[in-house]
Amino acid sequence: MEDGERTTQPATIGELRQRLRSLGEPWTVPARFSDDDPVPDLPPQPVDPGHIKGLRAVNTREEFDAILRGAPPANPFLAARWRELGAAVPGTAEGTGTPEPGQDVPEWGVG
Amino acid sequence: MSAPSVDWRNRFGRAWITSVRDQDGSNNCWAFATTALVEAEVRIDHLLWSSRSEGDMVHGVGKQSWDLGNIGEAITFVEKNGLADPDCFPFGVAAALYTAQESNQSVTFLSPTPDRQGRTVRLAAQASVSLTDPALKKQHIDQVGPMATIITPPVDFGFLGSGVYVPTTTVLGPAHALLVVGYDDPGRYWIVKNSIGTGWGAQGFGKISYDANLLEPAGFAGLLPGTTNPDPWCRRRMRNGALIQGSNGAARNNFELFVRRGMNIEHWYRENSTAAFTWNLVGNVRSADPWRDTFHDDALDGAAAVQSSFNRNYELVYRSTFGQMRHVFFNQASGWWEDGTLFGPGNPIGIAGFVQSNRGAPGDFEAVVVDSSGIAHHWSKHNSFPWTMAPGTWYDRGVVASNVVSGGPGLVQSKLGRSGLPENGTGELHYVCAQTDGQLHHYRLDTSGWTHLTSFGAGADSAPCLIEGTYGAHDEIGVGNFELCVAVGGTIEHWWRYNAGLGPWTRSAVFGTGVRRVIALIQSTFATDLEIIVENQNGIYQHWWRDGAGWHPGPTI
Repeated sequence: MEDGERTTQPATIGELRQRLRSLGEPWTVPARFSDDDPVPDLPPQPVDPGHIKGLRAVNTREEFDAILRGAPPANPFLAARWRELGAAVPGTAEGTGTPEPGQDVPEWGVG
Repeated sequence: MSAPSVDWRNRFGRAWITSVRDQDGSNNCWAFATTALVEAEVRIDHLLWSSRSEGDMVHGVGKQSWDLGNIGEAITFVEKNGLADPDCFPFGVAAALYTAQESNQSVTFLSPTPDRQGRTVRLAAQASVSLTDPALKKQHIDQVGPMATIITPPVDFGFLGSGVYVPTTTVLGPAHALLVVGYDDPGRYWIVKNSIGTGWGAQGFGKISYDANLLEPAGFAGLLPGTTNPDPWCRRRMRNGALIQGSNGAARNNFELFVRRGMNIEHWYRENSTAAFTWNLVGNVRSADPWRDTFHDDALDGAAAVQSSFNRNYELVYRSTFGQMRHVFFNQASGWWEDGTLFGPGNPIGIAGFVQSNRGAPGDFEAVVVDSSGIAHHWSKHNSFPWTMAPGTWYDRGVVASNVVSGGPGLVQSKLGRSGLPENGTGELHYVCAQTDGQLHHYRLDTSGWTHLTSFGAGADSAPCLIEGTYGAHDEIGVGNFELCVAVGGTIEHWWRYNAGLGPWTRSAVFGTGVRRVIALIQSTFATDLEIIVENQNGIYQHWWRDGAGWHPGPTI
């Protein structure tokens, strides 16, 4: 299949499956769709690339690092990850330090 | 340096992502992605499963099921109004005129329940960030948590099954919002949670190749650590007795404790955002208003506490010198303790089992009170429609058990027997008590009334404390295990029951000495540690907690 044919839309699931095989793309269509099912011709609603409207836009690592320094995690597993990265995180775990990730009892299975 | 791969579906040996939903053909993907983001961040901040309502968000921002939306406006709505649970206002594709303000007297089926203020997860102001640099997005996902995004995928995107998605066409479909739950640099793909049911991708989650270049140019929205403030309604099963993990304090997770000293109930708190973990006395439970100062110096025993969906009020029930249980509450709006009423059988003993149940919204108050003859009585108070009894009236619902040693915080509103979400009045009450044969007896209230399920243990000479925790639950829907602590011959026994498989009760630990009874048990935000408050035989209260290394004695209070 020519790359130029990617500019067209498969009309049915059967055509989509055929196109996946010919392109060698690494995914499959669920078996619940039959080859005769149409691929709907939906009107495009493009999203402008860029920041989410209304939220604080952060563009640089320095700016983001500064924000994160002011918001250390209370989650003990994330706090351990931050310490692994060299960040100073206030100790908020019970006892003398934050438990290692594998130290706690598993969340499921046993009480 | 970000980790080469992150997958919040299973990270640090735990699950962090709530169940996959279905937007049911609506245009509300933006609300589903943002709701999933809030749920994930509550889970990460507080190790707490929380189910939030996409319907509350869609209609709260003034839209309907056919309306497109934006993640930014959705987050702004949550920052201003909080986000309620599905039992407060569920998602549906039907049109609804809606305000996120409480409905008060003008309740209609298009309104949230009157207790919305007490059942919303709140967000701090400036809780969110927007990122476009793929390296910063990965840093956020690694160091903070999942992120929501909106992309414009090609038309074949909706048919992804297994495998890593690469478009077969450049023909674009509609814009679509997703939750990005991870990435994998070696495999060169992002991991996303969709909202079109579990039939899409692998059980609702999909892998999108970096080569597709779909997520790279898109804006990602994330919530910063510690910005979520969960409501007591989502914590209600994880605690019982005199101790509450509320939302006060810098980390929004302080402990609040109510213990009897002399003839009064004292309110203590532990500031959990500092490593010192000191306990501090707030004062006696009594009204600061002299015209309402009708209750103090009348406590004959300890209090059972609930933080209710009435605006996060504290509700206490304790044995009073007036010969019955007394209900008092702390009004968060006025800042005053106020008198409820006396209720229950005459001559009660011990501590009441006391919960806010699933029936109605605000949920009813349910209490199991043991009298001096050893009879455990079930009493209820309607807090909302349908009123089968007059508002404000506690009424007798019959006997739970006989030959009970003493009253204790052994009553739980379980997820067992629940049919799904919204819970809407479903789910069983469970009660465990020690009886005169020395065994612990487990009872259940379902539609046929209270029935005896099983008995376990030996030598129990005090009332147990029972919770339904999160061990055994993989997501917000799963039923967690029962956890129970009880004093037996001066030591503490910890028992648990695997509820998902209806397993037997198993004793996991024996610890402590000189303990009279267990008055509180919670599963806390500290890596889901178990925490108990015991009353020692010398009258001193003590805190114990359990982590992966076992049970540890905490300070006396």
